[in-house]
Amino acid sequence: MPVFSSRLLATCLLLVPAVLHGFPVFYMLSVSFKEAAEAYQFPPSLLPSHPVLSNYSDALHAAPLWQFMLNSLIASLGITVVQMLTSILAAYALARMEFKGRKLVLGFVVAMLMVPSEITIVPNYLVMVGAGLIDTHFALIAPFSASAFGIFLLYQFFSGVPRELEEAATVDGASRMRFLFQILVPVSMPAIVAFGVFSFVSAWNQYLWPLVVTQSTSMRTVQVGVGMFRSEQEATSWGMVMAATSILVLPSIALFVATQKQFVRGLVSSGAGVKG
Amino acid sequence: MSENSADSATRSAWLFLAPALFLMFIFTVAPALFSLILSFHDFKPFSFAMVPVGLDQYMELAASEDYRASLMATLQFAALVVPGSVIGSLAVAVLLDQTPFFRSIFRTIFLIPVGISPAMAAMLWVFLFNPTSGFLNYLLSMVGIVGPAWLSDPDWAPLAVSLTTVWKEVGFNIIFLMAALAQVPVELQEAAWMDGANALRRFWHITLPSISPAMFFVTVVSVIHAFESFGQIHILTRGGPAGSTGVLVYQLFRDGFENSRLGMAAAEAVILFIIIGAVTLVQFFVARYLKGAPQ
Repeated sequence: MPVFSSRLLATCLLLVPAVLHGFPVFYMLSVSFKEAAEAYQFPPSLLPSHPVLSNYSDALHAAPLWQFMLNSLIASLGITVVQMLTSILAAYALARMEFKGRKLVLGFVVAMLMVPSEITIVPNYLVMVGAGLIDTHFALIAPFSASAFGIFLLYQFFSGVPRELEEAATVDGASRMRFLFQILVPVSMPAIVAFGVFSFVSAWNQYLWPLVVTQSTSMRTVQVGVGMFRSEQEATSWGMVMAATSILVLPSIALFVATQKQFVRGLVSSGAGVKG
Repeated sequence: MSENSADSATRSAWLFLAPALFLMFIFTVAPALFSLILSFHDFKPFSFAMVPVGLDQYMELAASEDYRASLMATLQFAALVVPGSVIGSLAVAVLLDQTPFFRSIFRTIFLIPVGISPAMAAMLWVFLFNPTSGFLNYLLSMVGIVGPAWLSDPDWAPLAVSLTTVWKEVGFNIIFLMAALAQVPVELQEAAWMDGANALRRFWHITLPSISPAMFFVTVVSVIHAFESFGQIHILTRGGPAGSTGVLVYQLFRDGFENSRLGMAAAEAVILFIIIGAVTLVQFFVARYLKGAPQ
């Protein structure tokens, strides 16, 4: 059957790029278990001949990795929760209420989608310096407390929820707030979770802003903290560098694999949104 | 609806909007406008004094060798990354769309780099690029090539940084291309197959035209991402060697946060904003045209 054989060929053809693509993660893990001498040897070995765990304890002694993760967790959760709240409220008004200026606000939100973050970084940095907020979790969270993307995504979803639900609820005398949080939010969970995952992953992966607003090692996030191992790499062992990287990156990989469906859903709706 | 209740609806709508609009104003609109103002001032980092200098900083950038080199480095980076990630992702997406086996495992392998940060992607690659014990040069040595000192050779560092970026970005494009491929009408494919069109012709005449809006979208987003790249470069090369990977955002970071020339950094941010804004506007109008165009 020609169709089937051509499809089987697709699987075979995929093997090569898939192996190459997965290799960096595999090799990071492999090197993280190698003894110092083996990590440097040429030709390099695919798997450690005498796996050791010492690189992991060395990495944990070399830098406050748990603190980096705690900082990233506080910042990312903070951003996600505040973005969800502000986006739900704004999206509800845009999708379900008639008011003067609605079109204008919607246009404003779409315009905000297109503003690159670099244009805001210097003034936001100056505000944080002026307010003495450098090196705080607040500085990591505040500039991202509203999300045009979140508002737009939820606006689209809320618009598609049948009107009858709302009429039934208002006849019951439920206030707008109660309708929103007891009916609209629960039925919109797929979109809200998709946005939450997207928001968390984006916040967790930020680099430039955390780099400029944190100074002390104990306030560094995962992404900025991992750079410490890059600058010391020539002097220390590659096994330890890769162990530190593994500790810091594996939680993201696990989270991403577990939530990729939601992440993809959020992303594809964003593309549909931006495309008009 | 009475006049009164319309007013009250408007009032409560604005109350719902207030938190988001207020925060966007404080942290996005006002800073963006202030960047523009700052770009016409020399900013003194210790006294917070702003000395008006008119267009001087823009003139200085226009005349600066460094800034021109940074622009060239960005264009070179985009020229390597965009075709690499768009063509690579198209090939993988088509194969993923066709494969009957292990589709979700394959897909996950390609998507994982999307979930990790540019900084982590760089950390995963930095040892692979090591000239003496890295795996990349080992692979090259097996085919008789002596690999370069990837990250410390100005001729090769742009390629190394681009390779890492393509590795990280293809999954992002694959997501959109797979969504588009799933929408290609099966009847069309079957009709072409019945007519005896081979796989390549079917791809060229049916698949590619149907997914052209998505192709265009991922191309533009790849261009924008390339212009905003920073984390992987900061980790891999610090903009070097000899400025060969000193892209625009890197230059902005160096001027503003390493050399404390915040007014200059603001001017660079304004230029970046204009470039990205232009790309976005082109995208917006071409996407409209593609949407309206008969298939």
